[in-house]
Amino acid sequence: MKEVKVEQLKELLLDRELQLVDEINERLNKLELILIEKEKISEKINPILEERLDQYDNELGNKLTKVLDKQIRESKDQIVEVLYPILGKLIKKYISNEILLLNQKISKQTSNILSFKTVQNLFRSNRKIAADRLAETQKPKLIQVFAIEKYSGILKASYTVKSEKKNINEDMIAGMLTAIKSFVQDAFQSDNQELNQISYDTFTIHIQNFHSYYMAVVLSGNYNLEIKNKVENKILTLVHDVITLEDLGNKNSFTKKIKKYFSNGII
Amino acid sequence: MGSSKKIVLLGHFGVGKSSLFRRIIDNEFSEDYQVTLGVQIKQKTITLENGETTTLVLWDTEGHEDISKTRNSYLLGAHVFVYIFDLSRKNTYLNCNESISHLNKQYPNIPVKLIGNKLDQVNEKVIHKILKDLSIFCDCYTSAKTSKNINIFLEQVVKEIS
Repeated sequence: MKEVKVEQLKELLLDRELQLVDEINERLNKLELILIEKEKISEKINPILEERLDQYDNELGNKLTKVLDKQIRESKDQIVEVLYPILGKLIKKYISNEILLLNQKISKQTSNILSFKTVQNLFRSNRKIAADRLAETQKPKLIQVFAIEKYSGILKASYTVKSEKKNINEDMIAGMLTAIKSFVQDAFQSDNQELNQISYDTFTIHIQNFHSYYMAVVLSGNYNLEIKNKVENKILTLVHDVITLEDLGNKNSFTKKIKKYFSNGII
Repeated sequence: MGSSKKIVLLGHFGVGKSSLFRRIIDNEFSEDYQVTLGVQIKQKTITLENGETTTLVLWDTEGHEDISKTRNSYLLGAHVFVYIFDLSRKNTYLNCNESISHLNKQYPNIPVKLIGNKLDQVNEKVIHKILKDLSIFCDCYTSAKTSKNINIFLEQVVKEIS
């Protein structure tokens, strides 16, 4: 009896709270259901969404590429305009770097040759050897020799040092050299004077004129007055002592003689 | 090792010297007209009738209306002169006899071949009559564009140097 009364009292006193608990429970259940439902939905939707996103990604990429491609094509000049100085700077930087490396190499080589110890040793042993070592680094190198008919520019004979690669046809070189020679003479109206040297970078074309033909010797490296005299003397000796009048009309024998004569180098 | 011969191409601007030059050397033709500045030189090796090979060193010179204005240095030492005119442009052949006389006088030992180019642009019968009336006697009529008679022209040059 007492228990029943307690129970009634509880109901009376906690009625509202109990209702509240029920409501909360109900809501929690609903929320739990929603969450479970959401998980189920996302399980179903996620792969579809991923697939769509991938597809969209590809489509967008393609569209963007097309738009950019069109834009680039239409604005080629502007792009070049913008890139030019950047590329120029890059090239300049590259060249500067290469020059720096070259400088370092030269400095290293020079310091090796001129190191106190080396020079001391060299001077102790023989001063001449030191001078020779220095001269060796400056020695000009023979690249090609041409004998070219003076006015026609026809190649009479030629010799190319084995290690040097032939890039341009020799007949064309002979013709163009003659055209350049003639052009200089015409341009400066110098009938009594002849072009005797063409320099480009580290290369020099030494030109020595004779009556009906001229010799063109391509050298790389140091070309100074002393070298010029040596080359002149070497060619004069060739023309005076080696080449005969018959050779001038015979490309085969002329070429063979030049090849033999220059096979040991220019000096 | 065969011999080399210098062949100089002469004539007014735009008569097709460089086109003939390209046709002979590379067997190519282009509609693009590019003015030759100074001279361009290329070579072609050919076999003569006697079986020997020879190298034609072709000098394609810049065009001049007046032949006397062509640099002497380009002409000296030549084995054959080829004077080219445009069959479709009268002003390029009106003075060709005077030009040839000038060459014969200045370089008496060098043969001159007279070539009428751009044959594809004219009526052959009509142009033959026009030239005959003007006492212009062509050695060959060519078309660098279609290659017509290029081989005949080359054979004539080879005959001169053989």
